[in-house]
Amino acid sequence: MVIQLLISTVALLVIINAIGKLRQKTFTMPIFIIWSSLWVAMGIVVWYPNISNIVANILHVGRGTDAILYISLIVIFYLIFRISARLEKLHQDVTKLTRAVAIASPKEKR
Amino acid sequence: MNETLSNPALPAPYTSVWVVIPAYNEQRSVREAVQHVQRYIPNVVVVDDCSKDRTSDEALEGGAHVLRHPINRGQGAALRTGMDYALAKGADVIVHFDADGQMQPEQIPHMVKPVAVGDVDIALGSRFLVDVSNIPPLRRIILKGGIVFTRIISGLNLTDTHNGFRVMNRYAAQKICIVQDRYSHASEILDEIAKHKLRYIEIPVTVTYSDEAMAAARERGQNSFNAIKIAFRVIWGKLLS
Repeated sequence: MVIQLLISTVALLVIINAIGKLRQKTFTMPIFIIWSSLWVAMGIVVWYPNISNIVANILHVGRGTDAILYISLIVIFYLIFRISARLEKLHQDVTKLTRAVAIASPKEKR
Repeated sequence: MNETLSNPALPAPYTSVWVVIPAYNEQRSVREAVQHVQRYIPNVVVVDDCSKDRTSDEALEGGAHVLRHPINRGQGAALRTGMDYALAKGADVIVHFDADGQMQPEQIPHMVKPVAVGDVDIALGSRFLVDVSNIPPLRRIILKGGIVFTRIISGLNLTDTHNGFRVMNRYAAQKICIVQDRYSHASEILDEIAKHKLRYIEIPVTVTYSDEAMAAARERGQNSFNAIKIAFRVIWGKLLS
């Protein structure tokens, strides 16, 4: 019961936060829908864990919790990959900027 | 001593040779390195990769053009900065050289010649074409591992894959794209050679592993175990590209 309440509260706070971000135009509508749906789904699954078994049956995985675990792992790995790619791009941009600054002010002995 | 650009062995179209020296916390050796190099090639650009010491001042006193990165970006990034500068100055041939005193400046003309006469696009120094007894055993094993790794990744059959002593013509310098900022650039350059089908040659060079140079390398955070990190970065870089 405690974990259900805890996760539901967190989900609710995240959705309220997402609404705020949508209003401030930090979130676009598609991002808001994906993000909120994820947390709504999480809220539903903690109260009705049997729902996850439906997903498990579709995927031919033993238990609902296993299905959630597998899907989460795939999503997390994908996100890490995306973040790494973005980080690499940022690194390269910083290098380009650094290079431009260095080349703009060469020093020579007079 | 006076085997400079006026050396008749170097043909007229290649009148502009530039030496690029990346340097990070090399105040002890950079001035001497610049002055030694200038006995053979007058155009030297030192790229100070945001050193915490007097590297820039020492390089300037030595007579080099000095570029300073406001943020530390790594040796690969510093090399590319120096190459871009040299190309903008009209360089026809670019030499990669180190500031730590491990390389021998008197070997520069031998390295430059096959590139300058147009036989190859790039000349790569190799420590394994000469007596290797001066290379510390652990370093030798790691370098051999690098050779196998490069054979698998790039398909190039080289005897020394991580030697910083290179000479390339303008065409190669423009083609070679270095995006790996840190030490993985050595593998990246070899990848680019294979990708653009650049003509290359390996030339025997001697690298001196003095205690001082090894200590300075350790201060800069270089050690033999970086090889694993570099290999990981090369593979990861390929996945992200």
